Amino acid sequence: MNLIDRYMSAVAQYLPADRRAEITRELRANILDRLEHMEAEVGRVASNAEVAGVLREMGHPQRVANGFLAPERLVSDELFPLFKQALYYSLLVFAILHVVKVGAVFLNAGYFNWKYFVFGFTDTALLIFASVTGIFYVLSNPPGGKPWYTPYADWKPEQLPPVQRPWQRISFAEQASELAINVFFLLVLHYPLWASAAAIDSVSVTFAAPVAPWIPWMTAMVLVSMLLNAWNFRYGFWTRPKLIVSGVINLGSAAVLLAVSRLPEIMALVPGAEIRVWGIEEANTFSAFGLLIAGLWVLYEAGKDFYRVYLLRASGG
Amino acid sequence: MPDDRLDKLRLELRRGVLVLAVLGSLKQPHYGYSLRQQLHDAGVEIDEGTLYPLIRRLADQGLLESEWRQGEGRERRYYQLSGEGKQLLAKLTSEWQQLNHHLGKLLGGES
Repeated sequence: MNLIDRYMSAVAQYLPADRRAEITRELRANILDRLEHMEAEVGRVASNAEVAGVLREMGHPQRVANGFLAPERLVSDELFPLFKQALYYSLLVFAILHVVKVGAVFLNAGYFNWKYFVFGFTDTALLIFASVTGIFYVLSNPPGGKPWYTPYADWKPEQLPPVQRPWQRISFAEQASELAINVFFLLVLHYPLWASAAAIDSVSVTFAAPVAPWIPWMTAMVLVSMLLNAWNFRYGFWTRPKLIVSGVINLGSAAVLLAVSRLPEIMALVPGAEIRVWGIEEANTFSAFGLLIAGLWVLYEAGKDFYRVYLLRASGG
Repeated sequence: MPDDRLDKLRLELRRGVLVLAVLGSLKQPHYGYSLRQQLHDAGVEIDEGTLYPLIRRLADQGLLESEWRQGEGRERRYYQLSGEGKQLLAKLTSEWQQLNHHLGKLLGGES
């Protein structure tokens, strides 16, 4: 088997069966023409080294074969921005759900499973990456060649959000993390509703009696905040009415958090249980301090919302 | 300007023009290697790994006709413009000339 035959065989393996014979026949004819020209110039038959040189100049068999095939991409240039966005949103939503789930497991089991936190995320994240890429591969290379999905075809300038200032755009990541915090807070507040009986039995601390009247208020604030999250997901930009609603929710939440932080007792020891890490007094001090910081932060957020209302009003937005 | 940037831009500039050069050369029948020689003689360099797939793509689009011919003891596939290819070449040539004219005015102002 001479070098040209070996080269043809190597090119053929990268070609589809129905085009293999036709393309290699033509490629062989072209290579023989080139050699013939070279032999005419030097006045003798080309040596093996010279044939190898010509084949090297032609290029690697896979590259040459690929040149004859229609260009194929995992994701087309047109769909790539959407692909990146879909990947980002899917991974972010999953990451948040994973954190909530790990948090719930932590509350249930009483210890933090690092292995599950890291590997549980990696496994599913890879699956999400493969699935999103697979969907975009099909959209980019539709069977029959006619595009199934043309995301940028129908749009109207009138539908663009009336955003004047950069901060008016609501980041998806910001909303998603806020939603996760709300869900987590809701899980903690209503721990007895979803935790297993065994987990409840093993709990050593619970909310103290003075906190009980505040739980419906805190629940209401979290639920209203989640509704605002949903609204922000649907319309991802701040308007004056939305900022006012957000400011009122933040003000209400800050009031509740600060009030609870000032209660004489926040955490109480379950009768018969022994706290594992701290004493109950330290747990109360830590909770009060945490709630105070959270309350002040939410108060700052409320102030920011109302300041932005003022800015939008001043600019006529 | 760094060489790699110049090479990249030159490649982009030449990519579209090569189709025009190939179509223009195929007013007369040519086989792959003779076409490359003709382009080389006209000052248009193109490597074989680019030229042969390009001819196949143009033929697949119906712009070229082809036939196998026996000559000098070997077979060769000859390509020539199809009717559709001739029409397209005429339009592309006119487009090229207009573009060249307009660009000439823009580039001519450079000192």
